Amino acid sequence: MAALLIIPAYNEAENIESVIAEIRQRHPRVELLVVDDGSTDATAGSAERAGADVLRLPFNLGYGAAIQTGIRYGIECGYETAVLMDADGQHDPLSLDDLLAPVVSGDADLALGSRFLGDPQYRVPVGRRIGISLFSKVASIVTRQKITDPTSGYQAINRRAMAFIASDNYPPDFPDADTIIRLHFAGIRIREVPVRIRQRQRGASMHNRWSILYYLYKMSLSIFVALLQRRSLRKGDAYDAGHESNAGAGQFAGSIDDRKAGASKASG
Amino acid sequence: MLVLVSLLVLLTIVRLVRQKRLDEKYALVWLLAGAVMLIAPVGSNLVDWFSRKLGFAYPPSFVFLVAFLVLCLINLQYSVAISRLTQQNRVLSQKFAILERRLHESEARE
Repeated sequence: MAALLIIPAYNEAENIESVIAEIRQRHPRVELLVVDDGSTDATAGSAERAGADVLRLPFNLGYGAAIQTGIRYGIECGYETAVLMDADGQHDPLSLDDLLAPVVSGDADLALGSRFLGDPQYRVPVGRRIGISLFSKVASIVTRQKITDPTSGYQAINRRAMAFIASDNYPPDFPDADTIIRLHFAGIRIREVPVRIRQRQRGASMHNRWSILYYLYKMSLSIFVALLQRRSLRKGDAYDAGHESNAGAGQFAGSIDDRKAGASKASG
Repeated sequence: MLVLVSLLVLLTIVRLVRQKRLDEKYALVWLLAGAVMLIAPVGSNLVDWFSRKLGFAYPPSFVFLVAFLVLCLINLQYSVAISRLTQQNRVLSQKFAILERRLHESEARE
């Protein structure tokens, strides 16, 4: 089965059509799923008109929760591979094959598209750059591998990583260093891949409302909590083993009962 | 004065429960608070004696401390409840979105 391309979108009516059109042009066979995260504008309608399948969340749940919705749907439908891409046009579809390569070959469970590896033509505001470099250092130390861009939302993942994202160990906010650390503890093999990231096409960035002090405090706390939950994250790894058997039955992938069944099956 | 206020509190709580605007589960705590306020003047000598025994030079400060701690605990309990509700709400709306899509798919097939 082909990969499922999941695009979480919140009030991106201006960008979504051109983003979908560009992906369609470069990759005509890819399956497109837009998760409309409770947008108040015409995002869902625009995405449907552009030919994407759309999941409509009844209200805004946050970036991570929107991704999780798409992944849960993808697992139900039996996809083995998924790609996550932002709806604002910053992620260049030209990099999609590079991103998929390590996941398809089995070298990694999650390929993280980094804008800082290779040819960094993307300019990041100073405040954000300090935050990213600080927490990417923390993530690098904990995961014992170099992580340059932990906030990247441009990712390719296999079934193992999908199962982790579908579990409720996945944070509902923006992916950041804490998410990388959680993935690492859950036994997900991460590989960074250089990708082309462009400047935003139109509209305001979703990161602007994060004041720097709040961000530093929140991220430190999230990383601390991830470290505390280290053991339960490791156990949560068993999630997809128990789930493979009923994936085709159309049952809801993320339910707590399924996961408990999976954990007991793997330990027994 | 205090009796009047506590009666008002108790009446308000009973009214809210009757109108189903307040769960019995949460009414328990507030009814208890109202009852304590009502009987507090009766036991004020006892409270005086107890707080001096504990080493408080000024007994009302002991009462305020206890009230403050109890309110903090109630608040914490609410934070926990809100977190749980948020999580349940999230799972529910995710299921809703997926089922809605499934419904459209099967309608389109027919």
